[in-house]
Amino acid sequence: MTKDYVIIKGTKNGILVQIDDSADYSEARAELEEKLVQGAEFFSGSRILLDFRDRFVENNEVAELEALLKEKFAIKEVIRYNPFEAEKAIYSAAKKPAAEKSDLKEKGLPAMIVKRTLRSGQSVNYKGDIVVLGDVNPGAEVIATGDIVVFGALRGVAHAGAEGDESCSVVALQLTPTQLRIASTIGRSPDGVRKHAKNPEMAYIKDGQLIIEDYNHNHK
Amino acid sequence: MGEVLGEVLVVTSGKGGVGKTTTTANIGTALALMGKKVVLIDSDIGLRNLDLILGLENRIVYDLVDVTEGRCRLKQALIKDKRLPNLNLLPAAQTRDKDAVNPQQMKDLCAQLKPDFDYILIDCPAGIEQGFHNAVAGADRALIVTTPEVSAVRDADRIIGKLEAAELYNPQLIINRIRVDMVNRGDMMNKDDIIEILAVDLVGMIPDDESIIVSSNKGEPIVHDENSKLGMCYRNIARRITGEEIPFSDMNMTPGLLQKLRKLLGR
Repeated sequence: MTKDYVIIKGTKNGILVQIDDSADYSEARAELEEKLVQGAEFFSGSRILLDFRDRFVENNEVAELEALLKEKFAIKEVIRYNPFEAEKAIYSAAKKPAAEKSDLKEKGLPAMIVKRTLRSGQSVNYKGDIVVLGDVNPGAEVIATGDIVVFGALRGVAHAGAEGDESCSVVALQLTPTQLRIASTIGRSPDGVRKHAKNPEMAYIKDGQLIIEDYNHNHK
Repeated sequence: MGEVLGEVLVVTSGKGGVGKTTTTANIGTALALMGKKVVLIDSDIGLRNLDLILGLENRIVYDLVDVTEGRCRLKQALIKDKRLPNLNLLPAAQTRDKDAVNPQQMKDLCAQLKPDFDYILIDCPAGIEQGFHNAVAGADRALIVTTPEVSAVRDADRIIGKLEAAELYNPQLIINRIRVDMVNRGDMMNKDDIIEILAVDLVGMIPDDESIIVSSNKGEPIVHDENSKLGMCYRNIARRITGEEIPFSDMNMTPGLLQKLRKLLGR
């Protein structure tokens, strides 16, 4: 009759409680409480991982739920489950921290994907990485605290590592910006040169200098 | 009683001085010469010019602001063209400024005109402030005028972004004041350079020519001159606007120097 919005699974990290994101939140919560009541002995003293799937839940709502679970059902620990974190934990546990130099960082945050061309006067700002599927026209701006990838022509301004992260980079199919910024370093192409790049290029900071390289040579 | 309502086209550019008013006057006249019922609205309040280009400046009794402020009926403010009875002008006010009208009033005005006309062309002022918002409020389509210069193209790009925000998609582009000799020398942007950035459909290209200045001074739109090449360009644009497919003349342009180099380098 009623669909199961709450699915409970045992995992080695604790009891995973998955709350379906298509349900009304109050309905789902009610179902959760019902299930907890039914299996009170099983849950008492346990560690619970709350997975809200794609639902957006405010931190204070989670805190409230956590308080309820601990008080009413004697649950020992409540953790908000993040699938990216879990995968990263597995990955890093399997690999020994090698001395290899890697410019790539795995981040748990999703990147912002802009699926259109940015026109003059338009600006995109994001705490994380930004991918633009289209061009960035002169007079447009892309500002990211992380990396920037433009799958098109970058003709405007790109600022990667906007909060000071010098390890960030800017990649474009056609890297011809009016100005390029990584962290606090600003670069522009030499006066008089109207470069028309033929290949994808990447810009990054090495030894304090802003370097632009053909993407395919070193980074595959 | 299936009425076909007229279409409202806004002629805009962002940059000033690229030829919006001249284009509005000439396309409007060309459409009227094709037998369409046309009204041209000058929405550049405070800096009106459309009346001059049409040679109707002495016939203005009421203007756009008189209509929106209720001092006269819309029909009273419309001025019939000297030469073509099916071409009308609604002039702007000269003693007020752009804040005298709001977008809703423009929308209502266009709605009032649509049942009686085939085409309503709105001459938009330069800029992106109140004047622009007023002009686009009642529009169904947009025509963008640019010249082959980096500053004009930059502003046109900005305007296209603003048009998209106003839900006017797929604007059509007119490239004005092309100097073929400069394009051939590689000293001027050609249409491919411009379209690469703006990414909109081209509906016309107009060469730079002294005759336009003469026609403005006389108050006689150049489309009336059957021997004029510019007149022909504007007439073709009018036909394309009504849906006819007219191929573009190549204007004796050879690929620019830069393009030649690119081809050599295998791009």
